[in-house]
Amino acid sequence: MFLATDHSAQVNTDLPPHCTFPESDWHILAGFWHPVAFLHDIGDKPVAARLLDVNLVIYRTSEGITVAHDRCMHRGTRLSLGWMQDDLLVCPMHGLHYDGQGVCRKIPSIADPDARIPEKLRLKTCRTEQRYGIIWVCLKDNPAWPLPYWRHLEDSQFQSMFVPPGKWQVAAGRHVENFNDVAHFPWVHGDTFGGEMDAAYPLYRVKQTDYGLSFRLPYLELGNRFPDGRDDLQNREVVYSYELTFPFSTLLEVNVQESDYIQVILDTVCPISAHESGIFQILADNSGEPVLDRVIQETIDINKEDQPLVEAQSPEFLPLDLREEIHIPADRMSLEYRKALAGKFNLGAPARS
Amino acid sequence: MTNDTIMFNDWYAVANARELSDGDKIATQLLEQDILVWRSHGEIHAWLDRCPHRGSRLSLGEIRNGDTVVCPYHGWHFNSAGRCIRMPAHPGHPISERARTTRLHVQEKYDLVWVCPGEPAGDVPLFHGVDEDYHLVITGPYDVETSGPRAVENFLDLSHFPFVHTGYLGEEPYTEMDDYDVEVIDSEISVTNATVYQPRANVTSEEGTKVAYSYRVLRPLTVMLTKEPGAAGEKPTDLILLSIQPKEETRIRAWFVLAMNYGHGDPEEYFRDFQDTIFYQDKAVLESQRPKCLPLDPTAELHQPADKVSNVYRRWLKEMGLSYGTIA
Repeated sequence: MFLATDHSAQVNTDLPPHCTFPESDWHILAGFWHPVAFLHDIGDKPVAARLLDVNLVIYRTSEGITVAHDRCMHRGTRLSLGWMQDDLLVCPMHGLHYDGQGVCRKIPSIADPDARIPEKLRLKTCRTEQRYGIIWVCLKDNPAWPLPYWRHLEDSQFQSMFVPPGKWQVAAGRHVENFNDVAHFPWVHGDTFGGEMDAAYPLYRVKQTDYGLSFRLPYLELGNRFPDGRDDLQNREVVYSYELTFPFSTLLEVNVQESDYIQVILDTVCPISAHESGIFQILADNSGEPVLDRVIQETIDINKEDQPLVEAQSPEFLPLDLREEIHIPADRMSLEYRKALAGKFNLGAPARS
Repeated sequence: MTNDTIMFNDWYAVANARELSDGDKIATQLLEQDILVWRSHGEIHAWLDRCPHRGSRLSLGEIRNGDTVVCPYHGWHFNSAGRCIRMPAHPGHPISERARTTRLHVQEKYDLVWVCPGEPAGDVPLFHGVDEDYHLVITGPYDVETSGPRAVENFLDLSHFPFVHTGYLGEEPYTEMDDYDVEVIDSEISVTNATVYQPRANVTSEEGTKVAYSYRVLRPLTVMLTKEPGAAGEKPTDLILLSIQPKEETRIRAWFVLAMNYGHGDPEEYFRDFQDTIFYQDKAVLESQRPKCLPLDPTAELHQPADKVSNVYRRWLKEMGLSYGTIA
């Protein structure tokens, strides 16, 4: 009901209230860049987002995009419920105005326009990057890892399109493993492109890259979903190349055989909480034309096939103790991913008592 | 999952066996675990609803040839013994011994499927007195946002009839309760010599009558009731078995088996509709009770003389050491 008058006994911590992550995992994940919104979704109104249980407000001024903790310094009001006026973010409760640096510029209830505004009335802003049309946020001052490098989006041969963002009730790692798994295609994606259920799975090698993992795999897709004019082909041979950037971003390049057509799906995940993930995807191809609505729709349909299954996986959190689930050769990528999360970054460390 | 071993090692109804044909499956929940119940060549199987490979819900998959469960995610095939017999991504690859599902104890009795998630401490509770004169009708299941012990106590409560089941199991001014006997015999609670006036004791009743009630609380969440509107010495008309399926501590599913020595050949809906009416009257009150778990401390709530059985039930649970769904 009330907070104590004396805070001295409390441990000073950055952890958000009601944090759903173990403390050590939260601090590790807070050191990475994570996507919070598509740039094109930020217009003339502030927008709420949530990253690692931290409520954020995203707003646009003439200085660019600002991301700050969604909390007015005066009475803790959610600023994302406010609005923009004269290039300033207005708190909906008492009308405090904040600029693009998060500095309070106006307190309407104080009549004297020259009255000094306390320096403490400054929003807690976050480190932000805009790349590939995505707003990325790092909650720590010094990012521990770079943004993913998605070369196709800087290549004039490729045109790209955004997939409408999704929200899955899953731990981010479960989505990443599903995105990097091919062995489920015949079972889950039989209605879209999955191959023969009886086709043996080729062995593949997982390579360590500078910032993640990669692997390549030939595959025979049933049906022909590619807009490359080869309508004479019923099924398509493809080579999938996966490039994962830790912790949650993946580039999938689909090299369609008997054709020059290349389709690329960029997938990155916002860990909203330990239980919920925001899915941001971009599609690119070298057809020379804008990416077709049909191709976007197909990606939406494929996601819809995955989502209910991944949401039903148990345990909900990704087991980083490799003995907890059973692994087959097709799971090499999943094994390397789990090993890296635990071994390289110390995620999933036992709680200190 | 719960660490209440009494709860964990008991049996619970989880499905209507008549509605589960060969090759059918259902997904349900018991003591916070997701479970899959399916039938293969007549036999019923109950497993944790979880593929050992990547933790997917097997119930989202399909049953092939009536005897194989196929995981929806990577198509692992499990035979009715729970062993993985095929990993489609690696047809020739040897299959690990560990690639098997977790099987639970299961039995089919009184047209219900009973599951014990742990190691059974005893047999499925016995529905005493049901012989060839009776026909069985399953009613429910009824999902209720309350604890198992609160639901059982409501079933044992006689003085709420005039107020909750007005015009059916009681009505004003017939509110005064006569004393009745409660004893604990052979680790069961037995209630005898209870009488209530009921305007409509069952679906065939045409006039109000005095009905003799006797209960046997067989297990913490399993109770049977005998109703005798006839003269002493005649067979009871209605035997009712209640089994509570604790999906979670305060989310339960109630299953009833009605055994009746009248109305043979009448459509089952006839009996079900009556029981639905009665139970939905209870459900509203049950979901309003706070706390949702049953307080076992006798000073935690107030009692009237008619609550004798509920006091015995609470003490019985306490002595047994039951914690799930209760407050010490």
